[in-house]
Amino acid sequence: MSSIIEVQGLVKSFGGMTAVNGASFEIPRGGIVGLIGPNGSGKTTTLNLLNGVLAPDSGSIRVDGEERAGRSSTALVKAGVTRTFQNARVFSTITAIENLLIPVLHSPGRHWTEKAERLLEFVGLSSHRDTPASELSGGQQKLLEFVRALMTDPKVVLMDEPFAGVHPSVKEVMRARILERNAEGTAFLIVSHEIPDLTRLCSSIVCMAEGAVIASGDPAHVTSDPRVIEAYLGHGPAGRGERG
Amino acid sequence: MPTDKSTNPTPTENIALAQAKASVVTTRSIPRWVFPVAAAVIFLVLAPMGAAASLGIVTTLTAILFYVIVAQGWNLLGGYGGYLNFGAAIFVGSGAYMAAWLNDSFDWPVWATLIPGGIAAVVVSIVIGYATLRLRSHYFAIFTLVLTFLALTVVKNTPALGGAIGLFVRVDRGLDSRQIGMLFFYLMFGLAILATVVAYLVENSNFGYALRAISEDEPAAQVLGVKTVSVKLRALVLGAALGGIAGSAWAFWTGYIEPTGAFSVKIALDIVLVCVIGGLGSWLGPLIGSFIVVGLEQILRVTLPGLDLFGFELPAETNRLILGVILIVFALFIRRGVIGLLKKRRGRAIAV
Ligand SMILES: Nc1ncnc2c1ncn2[C@@H]1O[C@H](COP(=O)(O)OP(=O)(O)OP(=O)(O)O)[C@@H](O)[C@H]1O
Ligand SMILES: [Mg+2]
Repeated sequence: MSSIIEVQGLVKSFGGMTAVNGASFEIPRGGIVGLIGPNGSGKTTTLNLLNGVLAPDSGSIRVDGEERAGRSSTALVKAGVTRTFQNARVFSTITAIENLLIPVLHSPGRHWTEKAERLLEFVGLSSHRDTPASELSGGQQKLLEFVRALMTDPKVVLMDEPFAGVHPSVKEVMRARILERNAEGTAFLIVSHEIPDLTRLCSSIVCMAEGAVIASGDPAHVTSDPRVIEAYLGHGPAGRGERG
Repeated sequence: MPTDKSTNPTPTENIALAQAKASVVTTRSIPRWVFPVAAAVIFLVLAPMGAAASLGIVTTLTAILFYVIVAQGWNLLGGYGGYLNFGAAIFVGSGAYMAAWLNDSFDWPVWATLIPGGIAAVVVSIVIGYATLRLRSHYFAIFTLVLTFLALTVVKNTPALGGAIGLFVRVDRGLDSRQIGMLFFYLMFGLAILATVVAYLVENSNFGYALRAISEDEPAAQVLGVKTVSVKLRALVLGAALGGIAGSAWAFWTGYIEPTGAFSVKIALDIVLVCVIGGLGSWLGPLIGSFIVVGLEQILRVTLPGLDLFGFELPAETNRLILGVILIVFALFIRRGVIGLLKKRRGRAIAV
């Protein structure tokens, strides 16, 4: 069991449209894996399958050796899988700290507040502890969403486009904090169109196209793989951030 | 392989953190402590009214306090949770009928029926909650309206509950109308304070955050591990308990209940109006909204029939029409209610 997540032959269709078509890959324990691919290649759908938002039509998802395909989000949070969204989904009418308490609402305890305060500090949001999330900038909302995913001490965090549309300086904070958490043993799966950023951050990269994994492994190898370049060229230039 | 494992903030990071701190505009809104103080002042001013004011005013104030109780209960799921519904009358009616039946059959006095009335509403709400809370909010809203008519029909056809004729509810006969007015004013007054305290505690609890998260983005809340159905059910049940208790008191206050009056769509709509105008998802909203809505209804009822507009006498329903227009104005333009005008950004906007 060297991998925290093992995905085998994952398939998910929406009506006649097959969004994920037999994808297989692994996230090594304590690894940072990048997930790239042109728009519509099935990256977000894969994340949705990995954390129980969607149930796969077929295929296997093993988390820490246990089969978890088709289980609910709640079960997957318990199993140690949390996530962020392509467009930050913070709760805008409640404060930053209240946002962090949402994942732990059902397990009462005073220590959660302290933990939330430490995590706000971790990403430089301490002074916004009691600021309604709607008043945070887009980048700050992404940072808030990131630490919200850390509240339950996950084994692996799935991040959908953490760098898209954020200021370069916030991007640096995000990158540094991901590395810091990773050094403490948390694994990451990071979906991004910002390939240069990913290659600096990741231990390996998985590239999807039309729902299937077309290349995976060492970042330098994958990004220079002719099939990867071809997939991106066929769908417009690689490396362009996108929101939506 | 990772190329950078440094953990100390780099110069760029420090700049980023500084920018992060600078970029938030601090909105100068009214300090938080003002709101509990305002509520306390409202209740303190009301306190002597039951004994001092004229019977007409006491009656109006008692109606306002009744709305405060029911609206605080409704606001838990309807306001914080974002599940707007027309079901408030079901719980008021259940409580009222439980109280009336206990009084009619066993001669129970009002104070003894409050808890049973609350329990009746809780039982009804659990059944409704299990059946409907998996539905998304619009379907839930329509379903509650259907259930109000269903409850009305069932009660109308139950002889033990007086059928279409209804039940008389007897308060102690030794009291004169002035004393009865006072009794119910203080009963509703106490219950309204209780309901407001409950709402305040909920707003500032984990339960309250969970409800607001559900109202904003239920799928995201679910993904984060919030047990959304259970949270919604608890809000419905707690709100129903308040509605049922208020209904018990109300049955004694009016002295007579019948199905169309107890399971009244008018009450259900008024409660929505109270919360929308006062401010959805704010514990002070129902308090302020009740004064505005009931006050406005009274004023319109008194002034409108006498008015004539270009020679036409205004029909009696004009006050409903005006309240309807006000609801639409709030729904479109003042989406956080009166409280939202005072508090910046924190209340929940209603989705139209
Ligand atoms: N709920 C859904 N219903 C129907 N089709 C869907 C649904 N979710 C995704 N799809 C389709 O599945 C395909 C893959 O979408 P997905 O969002 O996974 O792509 P992606 O790789 O994340 O793309 P992007 O880079 O644009 O975010 C797309 O064609 C999309 O339209
Ligand atoms: Mg996507």
